[in-house]
Amino acid sequence: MTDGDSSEAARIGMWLFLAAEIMLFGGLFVGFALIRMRHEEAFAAARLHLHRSLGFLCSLAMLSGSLSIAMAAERAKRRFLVATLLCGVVFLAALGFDYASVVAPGFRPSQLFFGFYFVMTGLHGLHVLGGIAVVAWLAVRGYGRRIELAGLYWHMLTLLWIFLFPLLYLAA
Amino acid sequence: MAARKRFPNYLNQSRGWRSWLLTTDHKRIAVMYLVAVLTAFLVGGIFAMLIRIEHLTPGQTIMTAEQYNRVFTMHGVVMVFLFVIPAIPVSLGNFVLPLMLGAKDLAFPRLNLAAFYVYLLGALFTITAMVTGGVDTGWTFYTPYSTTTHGSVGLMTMGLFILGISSVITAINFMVTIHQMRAPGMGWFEMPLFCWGIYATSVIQVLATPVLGITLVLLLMERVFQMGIFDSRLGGDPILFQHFFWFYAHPVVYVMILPGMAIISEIIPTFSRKTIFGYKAIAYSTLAIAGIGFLVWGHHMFVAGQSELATVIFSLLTFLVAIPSGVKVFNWLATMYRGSISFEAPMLYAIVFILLFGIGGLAGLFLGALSVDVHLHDTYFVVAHFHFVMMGGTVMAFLGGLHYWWPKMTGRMYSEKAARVACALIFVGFNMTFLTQFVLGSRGMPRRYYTYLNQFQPLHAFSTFGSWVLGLGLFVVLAYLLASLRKPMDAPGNPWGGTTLEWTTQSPPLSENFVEPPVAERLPYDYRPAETSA
Repeated sequence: MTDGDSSEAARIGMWLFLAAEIMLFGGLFVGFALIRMRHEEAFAAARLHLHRSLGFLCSLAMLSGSLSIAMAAERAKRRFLVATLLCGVVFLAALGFDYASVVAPGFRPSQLFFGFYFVMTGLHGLHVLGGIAVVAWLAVRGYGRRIELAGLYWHMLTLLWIFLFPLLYLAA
Repeated sequence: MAARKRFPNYLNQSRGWRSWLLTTDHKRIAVMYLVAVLTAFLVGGIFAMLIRIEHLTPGQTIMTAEQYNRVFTMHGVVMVFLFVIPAIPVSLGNFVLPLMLGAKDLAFPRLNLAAFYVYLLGALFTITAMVTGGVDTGWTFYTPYSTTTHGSVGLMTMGLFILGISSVITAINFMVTIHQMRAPGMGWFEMPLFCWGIYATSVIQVLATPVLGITLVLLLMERVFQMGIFDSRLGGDPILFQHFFWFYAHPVVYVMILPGMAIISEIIPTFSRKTIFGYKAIAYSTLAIAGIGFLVWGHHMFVAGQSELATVIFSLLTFLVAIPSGVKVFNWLATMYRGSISFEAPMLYAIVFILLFGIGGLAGLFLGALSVDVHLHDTYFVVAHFHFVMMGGTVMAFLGGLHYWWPKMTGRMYSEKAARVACALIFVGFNMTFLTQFVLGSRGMPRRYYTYLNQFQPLHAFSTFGSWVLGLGLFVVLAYLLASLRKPMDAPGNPWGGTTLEWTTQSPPLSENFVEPPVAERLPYDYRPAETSA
């Protein structure tokens, strides 16, 4: 098997993995839509307790991370990978602050909106943590063509957040 | 053939436990998987026997009601998640898929080994849940019972989540392998049909398994944090759980049956000495079953308070599945028509499959019909239906495939005479056990009940006697297969006269599979003499 073949195999494998990930989150989106339809007012009231500014910061971090990992794939420079890494850390920190401010006044997952909020952003956050680990590994161990695969994964996380942010923070 | 030089094979190439536990050879991983899934089959089978013995008499026979609830849950979970879902793809599929494609290994050999250990980890969680506290929810984990019952539901959901990861990894590996590693000259419609079956199965695994994953996560959140999504007191909806669960679990019954059908599509032409009838129709029907399979989950909820419109649509779509299934059955029969049929063990199992799957599949249409389902829902009729398709279908195909590829995997021939006796025992035992349950169900015996009215006792007892015959048959299989391992490796490369690429290499294959990378010169199932083909 030539090298070209194997990188093509890895790319197909990655896209299939992303399809599986989309289905994983897909269930949550469907559940959210259904329950929200039944409790529209309660959901609208609950979301006012989230900090839009922190959500906005999260969005900015994800988008910047996507930009820098795309540049890392293009230019093959380590500093772009480090930039992606930092974006991931900023994202998690902002999310952490939002969690703290939501938990402090006593909003536990038992209220449905916050249940969805914690599960959806928590699952997404775990994925970002995984992304950080992969990017860090690439930055240390050297990258090459694998960076493109990590980039695909990161872009998927950004895309998911693009849906999560308005759904949880903005839509009234 | 005998004069041809034998190369060291994958079994004796290297020795020691490390050479097995750290191997990336798909054949060795397949053998380890085979041992694992057969162990699961044995454990699940013991639970099945206990259930049947309990039903010898109404009321308590050998266990309390609580123990009974746990035992039938264990039977369901072990059989579904540890055996039937993975069995054919990870053992036989893992072994023959690269050989059929003329490849050296799967696309990602190390990932293949990783998936095996993830499977073991998931199995470990599941078994731990069984021995610490137990689970009494049935394999479907319906809320609100599963969120309120005691026991190790949490641990078990984690185990199933991990098993799902293993399934997805393996499915991705198979799909990429089929895309990338076909021998030169082998187009999509020149692959053996087994590969189509594995491909369609993998598509379902990749798209459906994550939905089970998220369902289990939500179930866990519900149990630990009282999140409320499945709790109507907190504004959630318990029926939503059923939708989520069956959105996964219905497509997954096609994960269970498609690889079985794929094996039958290999065995029938080989033992009929005839080109498969309607290759493309079988390939497309495989994809059609996988596709329609995603749209029928609501038929598990006809009496659960679903809207009438949804119910009618789900019923219609359910009937549609019968069309591609029928296409397959008629193509197999047409392949046998005027073929030069011989009845070795694999072919016997293939014929048993067609018969039992035919009955089981048609029973599915009864259940898909709305008015009939109201009467039959949650009775033994359903139990009989899915045992006919899962055991009469998938397990018979698995046994057929195991007998078909056993010489290739181990290099040994088993006793054909013993195999025929065992097949007959299994066939008789199976029908005693499960045909009886169609009658029980149509007379109103509810499924999962611990006890029953006295009038059902003769039929229940007959079903239990049948399960002993069935169990005996399966032990005979185990005995002569193990006995064959004591013989010297004497199997020829192509004992059945097969035409697909796995038969062109020696038995057992060398570690690299082929001496020279093969080129697919002829179509699969081409039984014309060499000079007139091409």
